[in-house]
Amino acid sequence: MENSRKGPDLRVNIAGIEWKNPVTTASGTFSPRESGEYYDLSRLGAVTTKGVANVPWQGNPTPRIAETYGGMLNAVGLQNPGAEYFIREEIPYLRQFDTKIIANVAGHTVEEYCETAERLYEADVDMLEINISCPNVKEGGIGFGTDPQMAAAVTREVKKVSKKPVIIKLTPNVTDIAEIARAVEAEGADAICLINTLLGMRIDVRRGRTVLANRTGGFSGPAIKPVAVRMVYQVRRAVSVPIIGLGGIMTGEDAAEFIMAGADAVAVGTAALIDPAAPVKILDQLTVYMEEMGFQSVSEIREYFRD
Amino acid sequence: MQDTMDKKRILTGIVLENDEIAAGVYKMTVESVDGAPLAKPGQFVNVYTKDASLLLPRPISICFSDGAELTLVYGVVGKGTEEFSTYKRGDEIRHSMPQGNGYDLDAVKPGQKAMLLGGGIGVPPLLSLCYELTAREISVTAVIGFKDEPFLIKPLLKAGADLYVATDSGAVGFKGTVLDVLKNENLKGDAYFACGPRVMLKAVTDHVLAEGRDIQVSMEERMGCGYGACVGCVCDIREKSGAGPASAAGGETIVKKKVCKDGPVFWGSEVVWDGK
Repeated sequence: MENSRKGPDLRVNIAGIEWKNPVTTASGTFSPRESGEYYDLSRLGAVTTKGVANVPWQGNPTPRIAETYGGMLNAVGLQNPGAEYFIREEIPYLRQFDTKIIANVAGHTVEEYCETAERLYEADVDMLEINISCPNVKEGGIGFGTDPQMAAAVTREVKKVSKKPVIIKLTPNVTDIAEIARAVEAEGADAICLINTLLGMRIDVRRGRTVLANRTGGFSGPAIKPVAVRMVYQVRRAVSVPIIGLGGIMTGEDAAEFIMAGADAVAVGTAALIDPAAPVKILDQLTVYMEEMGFQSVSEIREYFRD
Repeated sequence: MQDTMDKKRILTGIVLENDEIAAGVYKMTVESVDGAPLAKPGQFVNVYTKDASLLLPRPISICFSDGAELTLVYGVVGKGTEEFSTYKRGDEIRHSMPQGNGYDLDAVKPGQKAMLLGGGIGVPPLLSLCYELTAREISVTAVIGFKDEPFLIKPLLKAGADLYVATDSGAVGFKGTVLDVLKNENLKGDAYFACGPRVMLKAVTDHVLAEGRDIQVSMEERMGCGYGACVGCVCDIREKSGAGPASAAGGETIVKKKVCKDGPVFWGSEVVWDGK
């Protein structure tokens, strides 16, 4: 179906890896077999896995999910079966599909990030995405993403063990996102992904307790999109490496908005929790938008933006 | 690679009826969508709201389904279910199904006796279970408990259940809990199936395990996506070592299983009831 008519050229090059189109999944909202029940994974430019750590993580207690107006909070806490299981069970499954594999790496310490990154570098994945921005784990995660020196240190050490392109995923919970972006670019980050979730909280006033067992959680969904667009715009002006933009993308035009702000590719997250097939629907909508606007390539979307 | 036509998708059904059958409890019948897969007892439906500010699907157990109709019995507990309660005949309802694993019906053989235990809004899935079991020539006894207003009594009788009703208030049937009825009436079966609040599931599991039997329980947890992607809804499950990724050498491991995908039905003996 997709190849029968001649449409715009959707290919993008992210740190030397060519994606057939600019749409990937947001880490934590994609599960290979479950998502694959709803769409052909080969349709996406890349798939980004859930965070993988050196050993299995149990995650946080439940409730882990709370709905908010136009968004949601999650405090899953990066529950994952560990690198060994991931390499044995998930990668061969994903390799059946014609799409790039981005392995998202979680850790509590620089050593943990490096141990996992090294094992994944040796495994059959295309790119690594280092999550220094999870608001739901105490040590590591967001602690690395909010301090330019620590963000730089993780990037430097991971770059030593991985010759595959390294994407650093940034948190929006900082005063100056451009400063963090410059710090990781200076240490060799091959691409930057932003934004992770905003730190949020909800209280059930009938019970006098937080809705999430973890008290706070990551805020995502369409409600956060303007914050994300603004931050992609700021980072685009601070660095020259490719940017994967995300945060509340629900439609093809939302994706185009991120590209105009400076993203080279986009990730679909919360939308896929609402409609499992959202990543491919958004890709199709983006294609229609490009045809309507007469854009021949993804870069023409960005060039159309008159800042 | 899989054919696109085989993929699951969000279906748009048409509401045939939607009536309040007890205070705050509605029974909605939806015309089955052409080509919609059939569901097993204990599976559920993700229902999507029309209010775009409410993002997440609402997981609702399947009360009854066949090729023609899908019946959902749900309690109004928040904005999403409140919206569903306003749907009228002819309205559209967006949903995806079936979700979850459902009950293992092979745990009971023809000629044997099944005990179905339900509490409150956990009663509805027992109806399709009752139909499936009686069709297999399994005799069904259902014990259902409510705060004070029962529902689905007639449908369960019609489905062939030998029925016991309990209410906390004593307004209808036995005064007390489902467990009280099991004990007082000395009811026993070859297999046990339950759906209801966690406190009830734990109580009946303890009772049934003490009798030397196991029980299939349908667990509830706050869900995100409802199809296994977000890992929001988990419960602690004991697993024999070697089976799971987190296994240690020897003995058993406690793993966090997804209620929406690995469940909602688990064996009572496997659930770590003190896990939360």
